[in-house]
Amino acid sequence: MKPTFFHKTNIGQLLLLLFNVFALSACEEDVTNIKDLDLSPKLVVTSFISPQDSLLIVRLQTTQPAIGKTLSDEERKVKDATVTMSDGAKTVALAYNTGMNRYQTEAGNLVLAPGRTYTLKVNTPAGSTAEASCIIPDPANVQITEMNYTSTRETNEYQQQDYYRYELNYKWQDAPGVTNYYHALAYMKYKVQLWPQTVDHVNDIYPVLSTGNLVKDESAVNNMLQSPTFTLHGNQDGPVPKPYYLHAYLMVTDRHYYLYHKSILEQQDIDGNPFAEAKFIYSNMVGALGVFGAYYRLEASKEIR
Amino acid sequence: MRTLFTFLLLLSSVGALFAQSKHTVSGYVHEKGSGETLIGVVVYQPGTSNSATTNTYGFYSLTLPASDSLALTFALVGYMPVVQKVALKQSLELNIELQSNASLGEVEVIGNRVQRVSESVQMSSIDIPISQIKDIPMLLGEKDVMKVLQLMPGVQKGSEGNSGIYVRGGGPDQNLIILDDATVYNASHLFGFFSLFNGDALKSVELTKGGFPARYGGRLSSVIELNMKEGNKEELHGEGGIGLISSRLMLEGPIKKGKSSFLISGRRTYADIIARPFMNLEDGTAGYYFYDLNTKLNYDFGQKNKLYLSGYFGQDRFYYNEKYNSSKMRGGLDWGNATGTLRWNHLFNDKLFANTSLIFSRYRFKINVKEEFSDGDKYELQYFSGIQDLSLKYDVDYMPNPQHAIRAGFQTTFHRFQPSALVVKDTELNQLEREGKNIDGVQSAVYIEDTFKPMPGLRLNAGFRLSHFAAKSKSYLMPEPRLAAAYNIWDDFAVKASYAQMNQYVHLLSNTGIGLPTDLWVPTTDLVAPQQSRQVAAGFAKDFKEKDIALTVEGYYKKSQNIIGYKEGASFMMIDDPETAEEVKWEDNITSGQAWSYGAEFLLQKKVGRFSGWIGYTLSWTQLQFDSLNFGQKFYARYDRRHDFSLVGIYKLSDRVTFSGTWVYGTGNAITMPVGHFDAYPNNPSKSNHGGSMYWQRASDYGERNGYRMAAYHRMDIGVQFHKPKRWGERTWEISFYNLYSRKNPFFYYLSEEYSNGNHSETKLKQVSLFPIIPSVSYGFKF
Repeated sequence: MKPTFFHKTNIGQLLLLLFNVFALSACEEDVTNIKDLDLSPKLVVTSFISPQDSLLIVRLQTTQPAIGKTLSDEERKVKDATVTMSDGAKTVALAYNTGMNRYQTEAGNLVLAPGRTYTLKVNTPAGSTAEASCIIPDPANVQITEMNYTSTRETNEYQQQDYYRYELNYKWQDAPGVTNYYHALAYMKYKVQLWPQTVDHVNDIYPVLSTGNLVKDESAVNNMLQSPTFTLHGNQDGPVPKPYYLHAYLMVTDRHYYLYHKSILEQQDIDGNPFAEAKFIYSNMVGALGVFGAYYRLEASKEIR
Repeated sequence: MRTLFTFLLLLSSVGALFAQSKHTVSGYVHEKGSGETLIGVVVYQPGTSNSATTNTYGFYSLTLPASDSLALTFALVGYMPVVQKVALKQSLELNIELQSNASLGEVEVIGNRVQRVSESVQMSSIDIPISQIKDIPMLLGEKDVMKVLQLMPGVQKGSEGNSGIYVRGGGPDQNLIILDDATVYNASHLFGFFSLFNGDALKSVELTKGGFPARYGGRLSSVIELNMKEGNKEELHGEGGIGLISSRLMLEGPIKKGKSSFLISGRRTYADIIARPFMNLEDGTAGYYFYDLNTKLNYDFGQKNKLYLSGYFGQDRFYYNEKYNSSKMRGGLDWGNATGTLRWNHLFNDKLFANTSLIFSRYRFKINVKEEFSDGDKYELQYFSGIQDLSLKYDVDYMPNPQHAIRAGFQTTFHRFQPSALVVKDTELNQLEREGKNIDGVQSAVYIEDTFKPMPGLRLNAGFRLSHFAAKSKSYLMPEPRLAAAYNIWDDFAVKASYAQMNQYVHLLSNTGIGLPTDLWVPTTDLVAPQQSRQVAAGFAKDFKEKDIALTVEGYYKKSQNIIGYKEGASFMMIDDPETAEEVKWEDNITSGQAWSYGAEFLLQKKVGRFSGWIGYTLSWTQLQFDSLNFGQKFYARYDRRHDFSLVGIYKLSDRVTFSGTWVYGTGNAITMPVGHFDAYPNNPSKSNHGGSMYWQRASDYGERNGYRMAAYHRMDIGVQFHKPKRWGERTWEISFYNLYSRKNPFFYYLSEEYSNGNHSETKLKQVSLFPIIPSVSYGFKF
């Protein structure tokens, strides 16, 4: 289709254009010094735990106030907080890692197991406290059953070069009788010559749909669910050298993990649309923004020779 | 309904048998000189409580004990009262003509018993004389019924200059706007800056915001009933005006003198013509205009039968033409309403009056784009959405005696909803035609109500409405009990209370609040339940008779449920955007919740006299709760307004000069503002070195939904009219100033990113105000 007006604009822009024409007399003024809006920086805590991870990681930050002077990255760091994680019987403290700007400890310090409840507590030097709990989902009866892939050579008529497109989707069996949430991801691994040695290279395969890889089991048909089709476009250097490996990463997540990620993606979707309703970011933290979520990772891979 | 009718007829005959000593005086009240029937004329027997009021068609009926000499007074605001002596030895027809004060040059008529607030059982009701509406200064001199209603307590405007109204916390879709019995779905032009209703063609406007009589239904928050003039039956008259952005002309006159008449009234803006030099696009043009056309024909077959045919046609049009090197394109947005009503009045006997209406109403929004390329290829896109109604309505008024006034009737409406339809033609691609799935629905209701006086001082209006809606293999049957009571503690002081249960089967999907034409009307379905409300109101009404001043104070509490709203992140573009060419279920984008509105209203009003006007004040709260919004917590509605104050004054210095002024104050709208941003840190469990399946993301924290108040709104408008009689009639020059002290009222806010040395240094909050002081001048004429 040739470029048309509706490729350059849309109804919203058309309405804005019409509106702007009418609102020629409009004027604006700076009202930054408003008093009845709490713009003080808030504590944000983000952590996702999984039995498959080697580290327990908690990230702390303060918000950048939406109005006013921009805080530097240093000003937004929360360094000397007390961060603990507990399974009810044992509590471990997470230490601040300056280089990574996060609190962490070896996963082995706290046994993470499906079905158990974990509590995260944060106390900051500024006096903020935050707390949240989550339960690691039980992956029983969840199983990746099928992986489908294609690789296609595409000819680009303008640049007279061939490109390669790799597609992957997979299916899995949902556990019946319980509500499950999933985060479906995929990546490709292959070896590249990075002189003087050959190293593993990992490429993420991005989902076609922006929110399609966050799946709630209400869409299951006969207890089966399907990932979106992930597509990776190669470059003009030629096809990915064989053998390469396609990996399906299926995170069985808790509700907090699912709602937090979904709200982020939905907020991003309406960014810049003045006609859309505001999307709030989900949080299960008490005393802070952010999330403490859990997941159990299932993996399947296919070797392509 | 046939059974009901037979019952009323029988009751009427039986009543006559047992009340031989009583007779009925009935007839029509007209305006002298024009023959226009008059609504709301009080017909009363002085010194008694016997009274009646003319209905929408000017008919009254009063049954009284036989008398050799009986004086009846006919009174209406703005008209000289008439006292008529009759010998009531048998039932008789008495048609009366009232002379307008304006035509006599009178400006002060005090002490007549017009419809007084302390004598009416109805509460939460507002009627404003059209003549007063024409005196009040308005933006760009465009007289606007809806904006005058916004000046009344309990009625709030949305945003600057907008004619949309919010009644007792209800949304704009919860107002039933009826023009000559036809529902008007989109009552505004140009983002709501102007309303559809051309005052020249209107006879009356009445707003009911609570205590709804059973004859009204279908919306939760208000009923705005507008009646068009019938047209002068005696001689040809005209009225018109030339303003800064539009001109209007109304002509009315007899077709057959005394028997039939016509009215035609039109208005068109010419902003597009004036602005054209400033709007030239690089290689094309663009423009915008709207027009209205009101027409009415009527024929009087005599006392028993009358026929009315009325119609409204209005259209907004935004158009553009563009030329490129290899193509030329034209297109635009069109939206508009069309209504048509055929009404037949029939008088079965002097106590039983019936009206049958056949009603058509349509609202349609259309986008069209055509592009032609120099190589012969063509691209065409058309997109429609809208709603279309066909209704049959039957109402009877039965007035057996002065103690009872019974109304009953039914209405059935066939709705055709067209949420969207898309046609794309492209010579390079296959043609796409997706006629959106129309949804048909049938909405029906039967009602009966009685306004009666069970004991001295007490008046009741008790009614029952049974409403039904069927669409998409689902039907709903809902009872709607109604009760209003007024008790006169003193002759001029009444306490009042009311209860009303309402159901709404059609919903408006809108998330802009500024009346965009893209707002979609959608029906109740198997997934979307009808909206429901229950409202109680209590208060008092006091008339200061010697000064013709009325005071009403009311408190109300309204609980609504199943109200609908967009889900977080949803937008009309998602369900309405032809770019996607995908059919998206609108039902998936909405969520239902509940609302609480409560508050108090104060109105001190003077309708007649050299000085007239009112003071209105509202103290109110409106909260909403949706399971899927604001994490399930209650939040204030965008138009929750703690304080709303209005002052309206009209002073007739002489026959030739009228001063007017208004001052309004309102708490700022509750809006959602970002208060902070943070790094979202989505989970990244992949093995790659360069990020994750989701990139780093900045998330915004909005604090609480609608947690920020815009700055308070206040504004003063003043105007002066200079009238001068001319050989051919009268001319009026009007000079007015909108926003006299140029208050910068917020229209919206936005965040402005500031940079210093290439780095983001600060974010500023900017407030955009729409109208500074706007002077206007207009010329009007009447002949």
